[in-house]
Amino acid sequence: MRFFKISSQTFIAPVITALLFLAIFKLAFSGDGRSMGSVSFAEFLVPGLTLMALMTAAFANASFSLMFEKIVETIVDTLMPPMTPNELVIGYVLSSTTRGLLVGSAVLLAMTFFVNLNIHSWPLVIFYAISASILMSLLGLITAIWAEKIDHVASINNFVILPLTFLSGTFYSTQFLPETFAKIAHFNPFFYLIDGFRYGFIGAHDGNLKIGMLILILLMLMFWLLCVKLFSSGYKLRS
Amino acid sequence: MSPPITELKITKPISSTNWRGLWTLYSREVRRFIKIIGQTLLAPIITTILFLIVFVVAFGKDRQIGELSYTEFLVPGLMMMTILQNAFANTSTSIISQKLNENIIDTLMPPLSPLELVVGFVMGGATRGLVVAIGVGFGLSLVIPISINSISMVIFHAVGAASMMGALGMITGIWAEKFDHVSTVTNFIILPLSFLSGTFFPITRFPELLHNISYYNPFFYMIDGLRYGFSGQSFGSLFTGIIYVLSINFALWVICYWLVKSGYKLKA
Repeated sequence: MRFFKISSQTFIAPVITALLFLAIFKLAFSGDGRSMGSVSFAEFLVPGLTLMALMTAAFANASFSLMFEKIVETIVDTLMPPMTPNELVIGYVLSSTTRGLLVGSAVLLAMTFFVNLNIHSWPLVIFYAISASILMSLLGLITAIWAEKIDHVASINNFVILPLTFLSGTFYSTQFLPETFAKIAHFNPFFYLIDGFRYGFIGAHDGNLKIGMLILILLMLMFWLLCVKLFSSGYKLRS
Repeated sequence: MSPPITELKITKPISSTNWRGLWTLYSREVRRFIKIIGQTLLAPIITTILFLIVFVVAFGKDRQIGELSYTEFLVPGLMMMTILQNAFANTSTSIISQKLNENIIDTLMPPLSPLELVVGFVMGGATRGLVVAIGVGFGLSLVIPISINSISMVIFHAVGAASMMGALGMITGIWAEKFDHVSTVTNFIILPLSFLSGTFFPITRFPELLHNISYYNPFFYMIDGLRYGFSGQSFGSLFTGIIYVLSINFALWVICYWLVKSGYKLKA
């Protein structure tokens, strides 16, 4: 319920920002009718922007929610009830995943007014949307547990999450990158998220989908275990 | 009979400027953002450089806009965007957090005239905008050759924009009652305007109607003016731009002065 209270910041703002990006790129490109493979640039862009909004929202929700509780010292009210670490992680992750998915759907819905969208494969779209939210929520939780001030969360956000999402093929195909950078980009897990999500829409991809899924599932599992371990040890949560 | 005036003489006439107070306020404002340098300076620098990378990769380097290469077109736009956003962010968040912490009184109590308060706050915000822009320019100049056509136009537009957005941030901070209000103005007004005023593409790309509206958008003239200062190419009228920047600055400063003087939403 935390995020509904501030819905203008948590929903409308990301939708507007994503639409702005779409407008900028569409306008900047207009005139030369550029297309990416078989699809128009706008169709290429929409999945990237949607997933970017979704990931940012899921991360922000998990990290800020927990961080605030730590700072105002109400975290004890969440830790005290008889819940196992696993249940705590599920609770936090589910709520952040919800926010991520809601923001993602809102962005997508808003964009359908401007761009014609075809969906190649619903199951893949849903799979990638959910795994992206879960992955980012877990990452948000870990960040918030580790962080001691809002500053730390903001730094992770600005210096890790933002660059990784910007540079993982949201706005361009990794084929445009010089060879070495393209290779590096293929080690970025976010790249597989965006690439796979986009495949669900346009039916074309840059990277290897199977490897992508494997990496994602492994990462989720790893982060999940880490979260549970952090909660059960009480690291930086209990004094 | 009243005592001779000489006995009441105050060593310093009350109307003179309180330079020390002004300096203290200004340096307090500057130290505030330096304390959180990661968020206030480094983050915007990184974000702007990311924008550059993303746009240049997505467009290819060889595209031309007018007689300019795309990077020559983009760099001044990005620098102006950082000035606009950071100058605004500094004054607005500084004032709203002082209001929320209820320590704004410590700033209003000392013997500083409303004008001195306005100058202190706005200059603090402008400093942040300019420092970030210089950081961006410096960072970009390592990868892209940046030439300057007219240093006076660069300075005029950079300082004009920084001061204008500092004042606008101050007005927003004074008007706002919660952090939400400040972020609403940032997300729904400042960000769209700074994105859509010819930062990333020439406004001729807009549909007819928006294109015509853009000629009334002050942000467009500031971006255009700064771009002229760097590249010697402008897309709008430089003269209109200068008049615009000066008159808007004047108007916003008057509003700030008047708000601080009346104590609107600052004093109970």
